[in-house]
Amino acid sequence: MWSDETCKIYGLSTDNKIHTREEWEEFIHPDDLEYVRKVSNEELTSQGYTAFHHRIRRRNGDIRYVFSQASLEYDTYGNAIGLIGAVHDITETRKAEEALAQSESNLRLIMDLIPQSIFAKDIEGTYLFVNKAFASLYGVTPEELVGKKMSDSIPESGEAKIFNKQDVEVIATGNRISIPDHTFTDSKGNVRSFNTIKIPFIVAGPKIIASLGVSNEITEQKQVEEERTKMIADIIQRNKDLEQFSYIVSHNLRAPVANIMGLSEILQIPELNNEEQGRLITDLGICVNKLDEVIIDINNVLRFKSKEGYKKENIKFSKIIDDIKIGIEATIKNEGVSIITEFSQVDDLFTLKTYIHSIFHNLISNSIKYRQLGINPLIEISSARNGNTICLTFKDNGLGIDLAKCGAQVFGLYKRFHGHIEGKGMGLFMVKTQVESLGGKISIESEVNKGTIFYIEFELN
Amino acid sequence: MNQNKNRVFIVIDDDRINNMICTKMIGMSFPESDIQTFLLPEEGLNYLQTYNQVEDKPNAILFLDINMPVLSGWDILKKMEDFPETRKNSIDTYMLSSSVGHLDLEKADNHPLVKGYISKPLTKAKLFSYFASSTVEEVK
Repeated sequence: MWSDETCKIYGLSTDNKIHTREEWEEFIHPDDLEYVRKVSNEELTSQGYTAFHHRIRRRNGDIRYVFSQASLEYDTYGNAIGLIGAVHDITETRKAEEALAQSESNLRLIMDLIPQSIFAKDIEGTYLFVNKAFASLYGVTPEELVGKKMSDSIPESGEAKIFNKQDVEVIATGNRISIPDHTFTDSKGNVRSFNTIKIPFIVAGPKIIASLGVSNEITEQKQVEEERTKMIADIIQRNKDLEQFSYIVSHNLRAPVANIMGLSEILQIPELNNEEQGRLITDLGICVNKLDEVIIDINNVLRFKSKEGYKKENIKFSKIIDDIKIGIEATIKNEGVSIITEFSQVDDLFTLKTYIHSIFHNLISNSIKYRQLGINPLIEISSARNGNTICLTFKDNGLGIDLAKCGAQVFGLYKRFHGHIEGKGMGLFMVKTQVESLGGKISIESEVNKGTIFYIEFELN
Repeated sequence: MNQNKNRVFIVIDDDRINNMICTKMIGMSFPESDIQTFLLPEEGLNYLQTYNQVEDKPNAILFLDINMPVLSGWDILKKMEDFPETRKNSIDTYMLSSSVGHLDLEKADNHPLVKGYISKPLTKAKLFSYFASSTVEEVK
């Protein structure tokens, strides 16, 4: 006989409370039937008691989860005379459990899908939870990482200490902290940049407070930003150079013009004698030539800047130096100049020959021109390859330049640093212009009365 | 014009022709003045460093070029800032430059030791407008 409650669970009316075992088995979910028969038979036989979870199917098709218990009833002789059973409907609990499990697996799915790294750690630095993105930073799966300590997992021990300090702070104060930009060395040794937020987090179950963090990688963003900053600085510098160029050009064009104006005013004085007049006219000629020279200079500078009419070819540094040496053979002999070259690492470059020739020629001429009295000029030129960069080093033992004083103007047009030696102040300006038109960079180190070193770098594409 | 008698003009410029023009122009405008020209800025600075005003004489007038190698006009002015007050006050400095850029002009305007900015060439007209009228006023 079934109780009212049992009838209700099985979806039956309480009018008829008598049901057979066969009827009961009809209610059992077909997938569970075999299991139920097996368990109940075995347990009842061996211990006279059984309990099992299973599903039932009501006549209207509803599925319920139930927990059934049954025990044998015995007479005073120990013979089984009946069966007492109890049934509990656990459908709601079961549904809640399923929903929880589903929700957990959904959460897991979401966590593993998003590219940000998510992690929770206790105060000791043990990983309680991590998502795929986080574990991949360590080159492992989340399962491999959870339960491990941060200090045993992070390659960079200094970083582990910093991270743990933050976790302790979050757990101790209960406050959210935000670290806008920090580094993390991944399992491959790459130093990467992250933006991280950490909040206190109560772990389900043990109810301990942990530190939950979300990290966003900003390595690429930072690289782009750095590149952009560098590019802007570059453009500003170029702009300044151009301003300086136009200022200098206007000044140097104006200088001979002003002199011509002055001279012509003096020439108008009627009392001038022939000798004076002759001298003034000679000076007028000098000024006109000077004016022409400035115009030719400007023309050269602009032409080099635009690289017009030049074609790239394979050049050999050694060959260019040899050519220059032949051109200034007499000077080399007279001044006792030694030029030592070391091009064994790199001797070739695909570039504009005229420019390289002009760069070397200007630097060598400068070294000889601004030599120290009583010391034979020694020029050392070498090349090296550093990754994708060709570095040329050009060293002399000349007068040097006081860079603390003139550093900013070393490569300026018409800038001169040695009053007693003739010079236009074009050489280094042209060198810089040409190096930059070839996409290179030039820098200088110099010590007065010791010498000067120029470093020229060309990136290979 | 008496005020300009034996007045000292100092020109510091690395441009020989400009210095010749200045000498000529000053000589024509103020015939009895004393004109010192320096092609090397260091030598000009040396002269300024030891310059002593003759009593009762008007201030020396310095025409200072801006663009010079090693020591620019601005560098010389920087050195002059360290001069003793009496020496500083006995020299009236005018920047004399071929530059027409407004930056130099502004810099000259704002420099406490600079009395004026004269665009090259130095001419009789410019000399009179700067130094004759003030003399007339002083005479009055």
